[in-house]
Amino acid sequence: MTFFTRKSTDNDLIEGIRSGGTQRRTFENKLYQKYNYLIRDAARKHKIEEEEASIAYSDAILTIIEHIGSGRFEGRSELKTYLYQIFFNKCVDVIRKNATKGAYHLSFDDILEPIPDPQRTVIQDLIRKQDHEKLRNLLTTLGERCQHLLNRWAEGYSDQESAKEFGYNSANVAQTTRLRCLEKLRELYGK
Amino acid sequence: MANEFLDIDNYFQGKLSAKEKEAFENNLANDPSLAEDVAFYAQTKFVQRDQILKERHVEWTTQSGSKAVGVNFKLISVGIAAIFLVIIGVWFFTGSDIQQRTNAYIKNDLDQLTRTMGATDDSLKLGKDLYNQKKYTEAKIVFDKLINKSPEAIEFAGLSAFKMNDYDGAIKYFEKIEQNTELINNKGKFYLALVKIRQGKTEEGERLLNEVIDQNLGGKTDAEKILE
Repeated sequence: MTFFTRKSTDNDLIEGIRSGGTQRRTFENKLYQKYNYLIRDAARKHKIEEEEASIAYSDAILTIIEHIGSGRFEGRSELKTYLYQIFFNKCVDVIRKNATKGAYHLSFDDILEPIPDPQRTVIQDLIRKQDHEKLRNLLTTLGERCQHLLNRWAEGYSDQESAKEFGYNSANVAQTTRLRCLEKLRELYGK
Repeated sequence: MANEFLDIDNYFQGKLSAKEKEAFENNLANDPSLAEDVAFYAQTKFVQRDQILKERHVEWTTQSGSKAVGVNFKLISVGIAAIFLVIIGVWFFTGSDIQQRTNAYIKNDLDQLTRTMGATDDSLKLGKDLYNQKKYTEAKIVFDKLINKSPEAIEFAGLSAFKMNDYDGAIKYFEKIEQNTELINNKGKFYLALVKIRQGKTEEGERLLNEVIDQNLGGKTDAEKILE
């Protein structure tokens, strides 16, 4: 019973997210709640609206979850330090957006992180020219399984976890199926 | 046949060896077709991720566990409201009559979404509740999810953007409403007029309000009051 009453340690959270399955979502929510006091601090420190800090914090938590799931977070620093750094960068994005009077939206940087400059800039420009609304609508026309697989991928679930969830024999099968869905989407987008 | 996205996926998942990774990045620098594929791959993830962020953010912020945010938000809201009132006050004394009446309308009539819905829609209700609590970012996220289902969601998303002073964003929604020929009480043009006036483009706003009256569009009575 003690387990259910004590506050989750960072290791509990990391293991809970990594273990996947139905418990993963519970640990993700616990991670959000554990450090959400940072929202208030960030709003004060960066002189941004608390509402803006709040969405930047949600974005930072999603990034952390993905990094934990994919193994990019290796535990070299404390989870809070790691989160703080990512959240700080997101708040800087908010300040930049405010300077240009735009609304908060995701940055491409997280997704394109492995790509070095100057290739990254080229890819960013190509993405900006694409029709996001069209793609968003096309995603909803894919089969349910394709939608789920692509959704899990964007959430940072590994192919191993997807294989388990969708009953595939191996992570490779889950990857191949997911990439076929991507090809199908590309075909629809090009029409 | 090998999937065209396999190398790209393996690259982003860190599955390539150092040598393969280097070769991939060299190809990326020299092959526009590969760059297009990478852009599509990343864009898909971006669009999905954007949607997930919107959904999870609403889920997290509406949980009871986010009390720390809620309590403090109240205090900050009071401060912001006070500053807002001062700004409005200054604006009242320096702006034109039309600007004053527009500001008063926005403050008094667009503060709460009280319209009763024909059908019960929990998500729309959640969005309206968030709007009425002045949580415009969260409200807009909820309305954005519903814009393909309900024209009212477009209107409310536009009003949320307007309340956040995201005028360009608001204009996009209001133009969409204006173009919707199925709406009986179409207030798209009326809202566009309000945005223009708030942007300081009073003449343009006035012209639009006159069009609302002449064409008997939604917001006609309010347009008449603002122009009186």
